[in-house]
Amino acid sequence: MESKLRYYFGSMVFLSGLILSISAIGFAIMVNLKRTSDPSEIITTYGLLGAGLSFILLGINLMVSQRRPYGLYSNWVMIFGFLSSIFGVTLFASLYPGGWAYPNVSYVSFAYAAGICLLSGNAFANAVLKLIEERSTQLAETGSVNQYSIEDIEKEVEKTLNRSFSDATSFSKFNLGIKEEKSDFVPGKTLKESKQDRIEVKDSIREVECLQNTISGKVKVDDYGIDLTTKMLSATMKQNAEVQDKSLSSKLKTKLNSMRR
Amino acid sequence: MAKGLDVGTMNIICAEKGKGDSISFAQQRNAFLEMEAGDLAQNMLNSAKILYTQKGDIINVLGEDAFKFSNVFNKPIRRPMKQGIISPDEKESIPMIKLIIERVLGQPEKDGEIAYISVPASPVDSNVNVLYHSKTVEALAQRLGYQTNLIDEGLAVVFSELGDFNFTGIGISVGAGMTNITVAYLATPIVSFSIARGGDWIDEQVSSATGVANERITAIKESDFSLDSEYEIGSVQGALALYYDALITYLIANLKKKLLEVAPPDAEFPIAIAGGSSRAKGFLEMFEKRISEANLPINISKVKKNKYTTSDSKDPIYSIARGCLIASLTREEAEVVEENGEEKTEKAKKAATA
Repeated sequence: MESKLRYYFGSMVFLSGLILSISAIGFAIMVNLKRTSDPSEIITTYGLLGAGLSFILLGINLMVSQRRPYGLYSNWVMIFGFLSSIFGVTLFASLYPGGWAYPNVSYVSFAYAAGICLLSGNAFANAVLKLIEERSTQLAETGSVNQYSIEDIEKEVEKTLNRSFSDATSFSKFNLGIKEEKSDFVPGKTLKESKQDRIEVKDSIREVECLQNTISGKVKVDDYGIDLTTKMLSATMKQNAEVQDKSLSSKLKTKLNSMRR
Repeated sequence: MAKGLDVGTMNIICAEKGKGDSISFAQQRNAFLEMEAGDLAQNMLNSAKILYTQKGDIINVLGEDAFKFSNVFNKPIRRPMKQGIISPDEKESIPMIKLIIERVLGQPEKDGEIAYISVPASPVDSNVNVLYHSKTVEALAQRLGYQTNLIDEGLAVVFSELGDFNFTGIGISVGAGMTNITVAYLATPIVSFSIARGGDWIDEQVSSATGVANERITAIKESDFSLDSEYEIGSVQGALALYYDALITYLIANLKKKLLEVAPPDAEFPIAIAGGSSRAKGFLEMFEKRISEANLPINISKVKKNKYTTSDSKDPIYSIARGCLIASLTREEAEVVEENGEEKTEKAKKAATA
């Protein structure tokens, strides 16, 4: 609500700045402003134009400004910038034309330029921050991780790893159906009666357990990419657990309240 | 009980869990020899307990004995597979492979027993398509009642040999018909390919260079050859060493080319080598030397050595079947866990409704 109000206020300030600037240009055309024009005409035109530009930038700043923590310094910069530029305009109005000489011209120029630079720089920085924040909000919304439980995520990871294991070893889904044909080959006596010779060797085949661990993702690896993914997954799970805890505590509270009643 | 089946150009090997902490391997040579049938020949074969089949007046001697008879009768043996796949030139290939698979794999203890079968990856230097071979072999095992899964030969080597490295590394299977290579990261293949050269290619090249018969070259290679030794110019062993080096160089060149096409993760990649053609003495040392000179785009931590002894399960010839068995047992355990989980959920649901 607060941000919406700020946005509408900002747009009004922007609009008033625009009106001031357009009136300054209109006034200059109307009075046919020249170097030799009356000082009051020059003060009015440049005063309105200078103040108008400051209001336009202030409006933009108000519309795009961020909330805390980003907005903490941004607001100060915006206020200081606006005051500095208005101070420049006021100083110009008071000094022109009598005191319009060195070093007063430098003071006015510096105050106004500094104010405009601060306002425009602040607006640009805020716009960039807003873009980044909007993108992350979009991702968080589309991710919809909250609807899955930790168990679901763990199962999904295991399923994906298992799928990659079986995909890597699958070739074609087509199965050749072989008809039980009558063979022309008559097996010899040994082929029919004797058993196949076998070599038995001692081997605990501990690779089976290792492979099970590897394909279920329970193996430690020194890989930055995998570590990062694991951390992200763990953070998602933690976030999910917190949400679940919250919902559990809120459920308990509701139950407690209903019991009290 | 889950099983692993390695269908190779030279050998068909089945691995299954034995009694206690052991693996039981059943092996048959993937070859046969045609002979004329007759009462005398049949009696002789029966008394010598030799595996054979009869079709009309033709007898086909199967497996290891086919090699022995080939030397005795000076007749060429026939091979159902060529360059890693079912031979299109051999009309009896499928019935022969079927017989050998039935023999080594046996009947399943229960219907739907899991079996992982090794198949070659697509070759990079040949137009050969491995799909027909893969699906045929799978169908032959399926009709016995197995629930089959196919696995790359290279990946089977990774499963068998690189367990200590979290199944990250390069698995190379130097077979008779093909050489299969898989680069895996955490049991997931990154690159998988094969080259249409292996032990048979070496034999053929040496045979055509020296004029010695192919079978004789194979015999010399398996009994009287080491890559560490020095041989005279013009000798069979000298030519064998030369072509082994050519095969290794070609393999590494193709591996480098393939690795440049992908972006492998920044990890240490050990290499494990398996397959019958890597049994030659000094093979691993030569491979280690060539790989260190190759400047591959990944970090090779070591070349894992398989010390060959006939009684050791780490014999490079058994590695692939062992890798298939590991994959089968892992899948079987995963299914058991899944079933238990489902049962628990159902029980919990029933309890909740009650």
